[in-house]
This record gives sequence, structure tokens and C-alpha cells, in this order.
Amino acid sequence: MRTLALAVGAALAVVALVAAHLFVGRSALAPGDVAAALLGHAREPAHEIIVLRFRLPRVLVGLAAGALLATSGVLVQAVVRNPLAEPATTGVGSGAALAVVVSLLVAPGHPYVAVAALLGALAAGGLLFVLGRRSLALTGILLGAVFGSLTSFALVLDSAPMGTVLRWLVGSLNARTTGDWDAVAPWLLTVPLAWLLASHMNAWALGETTAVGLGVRRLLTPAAILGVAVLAAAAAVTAAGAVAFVGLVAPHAARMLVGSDHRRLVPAAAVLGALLLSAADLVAFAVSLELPGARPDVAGVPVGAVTALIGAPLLVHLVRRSARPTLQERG
Amino acid sequence: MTSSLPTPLPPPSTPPSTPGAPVLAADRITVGYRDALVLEALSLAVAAGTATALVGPNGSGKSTLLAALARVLAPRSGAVRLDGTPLRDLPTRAVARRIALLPQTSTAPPGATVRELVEQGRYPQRGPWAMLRRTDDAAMERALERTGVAHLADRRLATLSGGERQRAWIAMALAQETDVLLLDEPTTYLDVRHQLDLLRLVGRLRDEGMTVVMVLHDLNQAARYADRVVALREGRIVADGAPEAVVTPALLRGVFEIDAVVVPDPVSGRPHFVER
Repeated sequence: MRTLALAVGAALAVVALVAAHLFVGRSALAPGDVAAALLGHAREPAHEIIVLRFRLPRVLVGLAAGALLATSGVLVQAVVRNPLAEPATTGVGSGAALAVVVSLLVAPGHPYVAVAALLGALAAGGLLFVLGRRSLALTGILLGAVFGSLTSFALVLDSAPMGTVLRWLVGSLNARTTGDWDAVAPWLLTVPLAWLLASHMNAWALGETTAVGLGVRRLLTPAAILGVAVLAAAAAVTAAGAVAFVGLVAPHAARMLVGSDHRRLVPAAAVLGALLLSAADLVAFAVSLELPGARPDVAGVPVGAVTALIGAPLLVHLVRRSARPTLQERG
Repeated sequence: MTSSLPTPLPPPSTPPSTPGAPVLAADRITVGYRDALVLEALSLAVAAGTATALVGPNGSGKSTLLAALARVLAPRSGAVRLDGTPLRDLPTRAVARRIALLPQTSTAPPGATVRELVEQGRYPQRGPWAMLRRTDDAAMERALERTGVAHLADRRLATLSGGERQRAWIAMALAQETDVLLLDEPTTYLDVRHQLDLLRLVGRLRDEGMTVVMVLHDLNQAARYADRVVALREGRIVADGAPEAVVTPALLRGVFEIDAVVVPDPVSGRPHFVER
């Protein structure tokens, strides 16, 4: 019953958020205009462009990237058995940013920034696989620090790509297009893939000794969990940049709502992550509209600047309400 | 009636007079971490349907031996065999259907309930895909009943006492419904009554044909509840046999450095040591 209530609540929240995104913007559109544009017979060509080319891709990419970040967060936390881990722990986001900077230095103004980000993210994930056998979290954090330093070095050599890179480092959903949605949509398959690993993660959560005693494959299982985590993080970073906090706070919030069983945690976190990122983006966009002279669709407030502002109070509220220990030994 | 006269240590690896063929056997295994060898060319055969206690001072290698028997640690040389087949040649989940392990320390995820923990014991039998459905089965219910935590099934582990939590972990191991059960200090965290409940449960499981190997710190409990006591010191088996043959003043002095008398326990007649 509680599950059903949560599912219905989540569905309503998604619908409300999508609706809000479709209505908020510089051009005030009547509900009938938006509906007509969505259904494919817009009363004015401009309506169709505003709703279908600008507003809808932005909210869809935001929902997808949020779900991917949260899913990646659940997986990373599961594999290192540490609730403070998050997608950034893998160094994938920093790898993407470095690749973007380097590509812009080599070929200024090229249009394949997203491709560079994806390749950088996947390369960072691959490096983590090669080097992280002994201590995954530490290796990931160190890789992230090295990529961050190299990014700074590159920007000191040539600060031209600074604006693009900053949006990438903070995370932004400004000016997303249908092409961005087409690029990120297939990666949403990593969410069901993560769910298929749920029972492995449940067993792995009991500690390596117990898990091996239960028949979990000691090398293959964590590698599979980490692999899906890296793919989801890479896709999210490519779509929205290295947005902080969603991958940390969404799994926590989900755990407080549905418990730590990954069979429920994965879908719950994915939905919460989608809601969180998209809601933060709505705030970012609304604030941008109020800024004098800004072009909110392109150079407005990046969503990454807002996620922590929304996520942190949410997490504090949930922690205070449940007052549950975050990690617990058998003794 | 006392038997405080020093008796010589029995020779190592005396085969015990136990019924049944060996179900689990370490065959000259050498086990170590990094550059330290903990066990060297150690052999131990465990007969089906018996309860064996591994005893020894801290650092004697008893937990390492248990981990090797559970294939959690792979021996550098030698092999652990299950019904004659080396464990390394068996799929790990197939081993988990035969051998359950309760490690010394484990972590539970935050917020997990007793039922969710015990359900994990069904992983080897059901497999990862079937485990994607939340279902209770008879094995889970039996395990919850036998460990006396059925009434706590929907409580979160974090809200339980240390003893209740330990019994929930034992229920998880029992839910595997294996024929071999390996317990590493299972009485830790339990109060005296629950220690005795657990050891009696071990006795009943043994009577039903289960093979139990447990690391115990309390020598008197080992003598009373095990068919066979294996004493380790510095990675070697220094005494092995029926409790009467192993729990002797000479062994207590030689292995544990305790000066003690050994008297028959007035209830069970098993040896019982009292420090001098």
C-alpha cells in the first residue's frame, strides 16, 4: 500500500514538474497553447518551437540525467559499501571535464563537446577499472584530483574555453536540444540494468566475507556493479555536466523512504534523482528569468549551482526525521 | 573425582573416532595473508554429522582455518575438498548450497530488517534472478523460528540488542539450509542464556545430520557441546580428538598457558576446567 502511494506520488510529481517546465519561460503560453503544441497542432509555429524544441528537451534531459546520477550513486555506494560515496567518487565527471577542455584547446569551438565528454568519462572509468583493484574509492578520488589539476593547468595555458568548461564542471541544462535527449535516452537502459543487479548488491552489502560465503563472485560482481555505475555516470555527465549532490542525496533520500533493499532502492532513487535535478533546474531557470539582461535559455544560472541549495535542506530534513544510524556493525 | 595429573599431549592430527566419511577436508593447506603464513601444510578432515570445535589462543589460526574451509581464503598450496572435490573446482554458488558461513564480523546495510537479512541466506538456493522477487519461503520461516527471532522479523536490525542481532545473522546462515555449517565465534555478543540456546541448537542440528565446525573461545563450552575439539597454536594443530582427550591440564598449560584442574562436568560428564 505504501509502495503504491509512493509510486502514485512520484508519478504525480513527475507530471507536475514536466507541466511546470513547459509553462515557465520568457514567452507566457496559455495551457491550451502548450497542449496544442504537444499534440502536434500548434496554433502558431513559434509555440511548437518553444514547447517541443526548447522546453520539452530541457525537462526530459534533466529527468534523465537526474535518474542516471542517482542510479550511479546507488551503485557506487553499494560497491564500496559507503553511503558517502557518489558518482564523483569514480572520477568519471572530472575525466569528462578534462576531455572537454583538451578537445576545445585542440580544436576551438568544435561542435562535438558532448562526444569529447562521453569519451573522457568512459576513459576515466576504464582507468579506474585498471588501477582500482585494491582500493576503488581512493583510486577514484585520486584520479578525479589528477584530472582536476590537469584541467586547471589546461585552462591556465589558454582560458578561452573557460565558459564552456565552467558550465561543464558545475553542470548545466541550459539550451538542451532534442539531439541531447536522443543522445541520453538510450543510456536510461542502465537503470533497469542496475535493478537487475539488485540482489547481487543486497548480498554484497553484507560484507565481502559473508557475500563470498553466499556464493557471490568476488571479482565479477563488484566489477559488474561498477561497470554499470560508470556507464550511468558517464551518460549523466555527458548530458548535464558534473552536477554535484544529486548522486549523493537521491540515494539517501530514497533509502529513508523505502529502506536499503536495492530492489526498491534502485527505482526509488532513480525517480527521486530525476525529480531533484529537474526541480533544481526549474528553480535555476526561474531565477535566470529575473536576472537583468541574461539569456536564460543559454547563459542562465547553471542547475549545478542550485542542486545543493535544494538537496542539502532536503537531506537534513530527512535525516532529522528518521534519526537512523547510517552504518551499523553487527555488534 | 579429579584428573589433575598432567597427561601428555596427544599426537597431532589423531583421527577421531567419529561416524561417517569426511565431508569437508583440508589437505595439507598453506594459507597466509601477503607475506605472513598463518597455516602451513595443515590437514584436517571433518566427518559428516559431527560437531567440531576449533580452539586456541588469539592468533593461533583458527579463524583462518575456518575461512579456508569456507573458501573465503584460497590456500596457496594444498586443497580444501568437499566430498573429495577441491572447492576451487566447484562453482562458488554450488559451494554455498552445501556450506554456510557465519563470519566473525559483518556489516548490515542501514535500515535492513531481520527478514531482509535472513532472505539473503536464500541467495545460493534461489539464485540472483529469482532473488529479484521478494518472497518468503519455508526455509526462512524455519530459520527465524529456530533462532527465536520470528517475532522480530519485521524489526530493523538497528533497533535490536546485540544478542538479537547475532541470532538474526545465525538465522541467515541457517536459511541457506546447507549440510555444513561454519561458525566463527557464534556466541560473541550473546548473553549466557542465549549462548546456551545457540549451543543447544547446534547440538540439535548435529543430531539432524548437519556437520558443524565452530570457532569457540570458551573451552568448557567446546568440551561440552562438540564431539571433537581441535586445538591450534601458531598455525599448527597441537591436539585433536574427543573432548576428554584434548581438554587436559597439560594442554591447558601448553597451549593456553593456564594452570588448571580438569573435572568432569557433573551434568554431562564432559571435561570442565577450573583455573587453579
